Amino acid sequence: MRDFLRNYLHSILIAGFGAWIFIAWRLAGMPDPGFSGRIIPAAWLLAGILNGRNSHIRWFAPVVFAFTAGAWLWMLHPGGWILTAAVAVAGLITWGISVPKGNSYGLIKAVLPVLLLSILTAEINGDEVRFAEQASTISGISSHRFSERNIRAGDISASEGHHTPMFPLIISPGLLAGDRGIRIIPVILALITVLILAKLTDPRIALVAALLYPGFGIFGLAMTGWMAAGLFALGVLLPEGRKWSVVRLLIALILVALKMRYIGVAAGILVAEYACMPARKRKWIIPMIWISTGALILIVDRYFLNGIIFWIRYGNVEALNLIWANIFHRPLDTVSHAAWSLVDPEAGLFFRAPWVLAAISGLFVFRRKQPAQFKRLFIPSILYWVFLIVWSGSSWHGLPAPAGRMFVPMLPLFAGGLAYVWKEKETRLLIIISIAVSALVVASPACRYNYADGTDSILSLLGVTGGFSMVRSNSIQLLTAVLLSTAMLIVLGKWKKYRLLSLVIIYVSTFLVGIYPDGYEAEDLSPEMVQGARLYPYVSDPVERYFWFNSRERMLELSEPGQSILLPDIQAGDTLSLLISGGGGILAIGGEMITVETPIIELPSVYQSIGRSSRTLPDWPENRLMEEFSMVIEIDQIESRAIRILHHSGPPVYLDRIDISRGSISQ
Amino acid sequence: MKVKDGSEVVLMLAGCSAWAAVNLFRGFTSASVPLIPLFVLLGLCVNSLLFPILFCCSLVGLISTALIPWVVLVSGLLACTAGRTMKIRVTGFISVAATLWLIPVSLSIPVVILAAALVFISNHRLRYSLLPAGFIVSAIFFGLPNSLITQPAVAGSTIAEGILTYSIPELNTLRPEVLLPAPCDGPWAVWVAIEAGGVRDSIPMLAIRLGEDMLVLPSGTDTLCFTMVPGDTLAITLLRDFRPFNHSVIHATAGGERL
Repeated sequence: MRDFLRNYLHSILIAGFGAWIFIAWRLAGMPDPGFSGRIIPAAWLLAGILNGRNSHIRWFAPVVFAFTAGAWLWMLHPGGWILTAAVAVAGLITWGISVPKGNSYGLIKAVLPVLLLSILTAEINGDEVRFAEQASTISGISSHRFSERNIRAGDISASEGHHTPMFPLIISPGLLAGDRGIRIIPVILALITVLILAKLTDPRIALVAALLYPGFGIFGLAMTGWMAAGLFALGVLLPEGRKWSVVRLLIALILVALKMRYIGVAAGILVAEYACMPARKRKWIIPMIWISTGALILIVDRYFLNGIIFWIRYGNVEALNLIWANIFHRPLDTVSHAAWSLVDPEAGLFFRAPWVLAAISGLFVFRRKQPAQFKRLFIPSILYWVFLIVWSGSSWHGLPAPAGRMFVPMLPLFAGGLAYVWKEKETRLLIIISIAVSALVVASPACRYNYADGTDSILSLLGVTGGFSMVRSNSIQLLTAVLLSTAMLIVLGKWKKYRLLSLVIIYVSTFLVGIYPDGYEAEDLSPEMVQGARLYPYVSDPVERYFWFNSRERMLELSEPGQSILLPDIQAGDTLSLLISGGGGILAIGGEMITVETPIIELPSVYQSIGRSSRTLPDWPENRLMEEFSMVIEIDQIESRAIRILHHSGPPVYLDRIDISRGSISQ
Repeated sequence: MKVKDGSEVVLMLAGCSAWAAVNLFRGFTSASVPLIPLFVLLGLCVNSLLFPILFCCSLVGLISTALIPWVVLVSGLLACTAGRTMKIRVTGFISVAATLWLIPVSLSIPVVILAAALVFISNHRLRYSLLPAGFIVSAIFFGLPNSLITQPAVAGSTIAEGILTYSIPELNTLRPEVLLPAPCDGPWAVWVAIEAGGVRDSIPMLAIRLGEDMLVLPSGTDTLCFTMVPGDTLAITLLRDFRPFNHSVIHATAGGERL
């Protein structure tokens, strides 16, 4: 008995903490005892069982005390209980990363508790439903909820979605276990990928990739990212040689069949293969053959088979027009999309996964020490990113699916870079922040998703309605964020003797993210101010706004009697500025009537030829130009220090933003 | 994050500079003052295992003013409990003390007594058991430090083709009241569906008020109808205070039609 206690003391402590979480949750009366208050203790219990004789838990006591203090004080803020739960989850992630992994089983057991939390807290999302419907149709395995196929935004027709059939086919056996079984095969694929990454780098690095963003966003979910990352990493692990080149070519083809988006990785695998080939006469013929074959297949498919093989959302060869437009007709927009893809709070890489900054700084050492492997990882990853931006344009983020999922195929590269800076103190610092992000997402499952409306769910949870966002784009803010990221990379890479600068950069970034914007964005107006008015479009799905040419922000629609906006804290002499659009609707602002009629914007000529038919802009709210209307508030327009904005008559009026500047006359 | 001696001062100064920037750009608020001892604490703990949690707390405090009391108190109590040196524990106590004026005096007493006791107890095992014990005693005999939110929540509403829909946040001991204002135009027939639970008895749990009328209900499911005119406000109030092992909660949905 004494030996058992000595050997398994830490396991007992970990399981005991699970029991303490369960009791403390109830003692403190924290919300959600039935779900979060059960699954988090259960995950700790599982960790205790899987811990074995591991005694590397020096971090354990601070986690226990922080959780206890947090539970005691949870009522100080609406987010208090979520932060308390996040402390417990963060401890679990730390356990996963720190537990020694001797073999594959050790690696998998380190992942399991957090994987359990990830799967249980992630609602089945629209893409997973689509995959399940396709899987059910293709395999004939009937599943209760997913047996019927429904058309969605972006689908070509009711029977033809925008997903290729390969992934649904692979995951279809899971449906034998029922609706939730749709995630069985993806979980296995994700675990296999973790093992491959561990082989490629180091078990702890593989765990960081799995348990932190961007990988964590879809870890265990029925989405293609982890399978793509696994295939890509597998290709890198294969030895050199002609027969293995054929296997790599096969992997490239599978990636394209898995999802058209991975064509960048596939092309990169071929380019890297070419780059790693020994120099010989007429080596250039090989890529010529590849390119010609690819072009021939696309042409035959499009013009002779009517696009049945490589059928994609915007047409096939026609899609090249889009690439052409993104590169040559709006290069600045494309560059800004590339930058936002790194720093945007909603879907950008660095905000949810700051450890990637350390990984990028490690790539320089990686390149020096293992040039061949570096080439095989770097070229496909970069081509994937470039292709993603150039192909998808402003919809590079793929929201509203889990934020950050677009970067999952780049995980092998980041893991490779991280391996070389793992022991640096700054790397630990960035990993700590990344752990906190993953933990918050588990504690507050809504944080997994964003809707490209300019409001990040994690920042909203912390009470920040930021002005810093791709959707509410501001080039100065973008430059600031890029500058800070570059400064961080320089400090991490070259100026290690000034390493404390990294802390300063983190503090400055945090402070900037927390700055409140001036004025009111329509989507941020509080319920105290808005009565009855709806946001347009009526659903938050950003796919509805992908092809807007004006602004991609949601607007507040004033169209019916009873809808109103009440602006508080108004004084006579203040100037009220509204950014509004409409087709002749009349607004009553503090009793004064104004007619709102703004023109329809003109579609740039380059866009008119994109797609299978020519496009002109219809008279929809998003196609009307937003114009600023300003007025100085008179004393008789104010009621109880507030001014009311009403829809009076006529067509709806759409509001994007309200600014109030204080006047010189004060009452 | 191990740094050379003296470098902790850089960390403290960086934090204090960020604090100053926050107050310059967002406007000064006295609620942010406790962040200063937190940054000092962070500097002192730079080589300890407390650093990751304190660091994350400082970031949250910089982002959100409303969360400062929570993060500073948690950090302070953590430092008092797990701090190895007297210097760290005293600074932890100062952090706790600097925040206490933000929470009601009656409920802050257990916290401050515990923090003070933790500073002077050198036996770490005793310290480790004192924090959970303090939490248990406080929860059972004194209650928990209460919400800093004094204003009731206001339900959001939308009107589409004459149909009114309210979106009502969950009510619990933290946020016990929500107001449903009537639309500013015309009379409306409004229904409210209520699910109240999380308690272990059947005594009255919530009150619904409209003008002079008030209805008190026990836990369970109810649907009620009202007529509302511009200027009316329907209030749903949770009548239960905090009690251990109770998770009083009200989920309500409401809507209406123009009459």
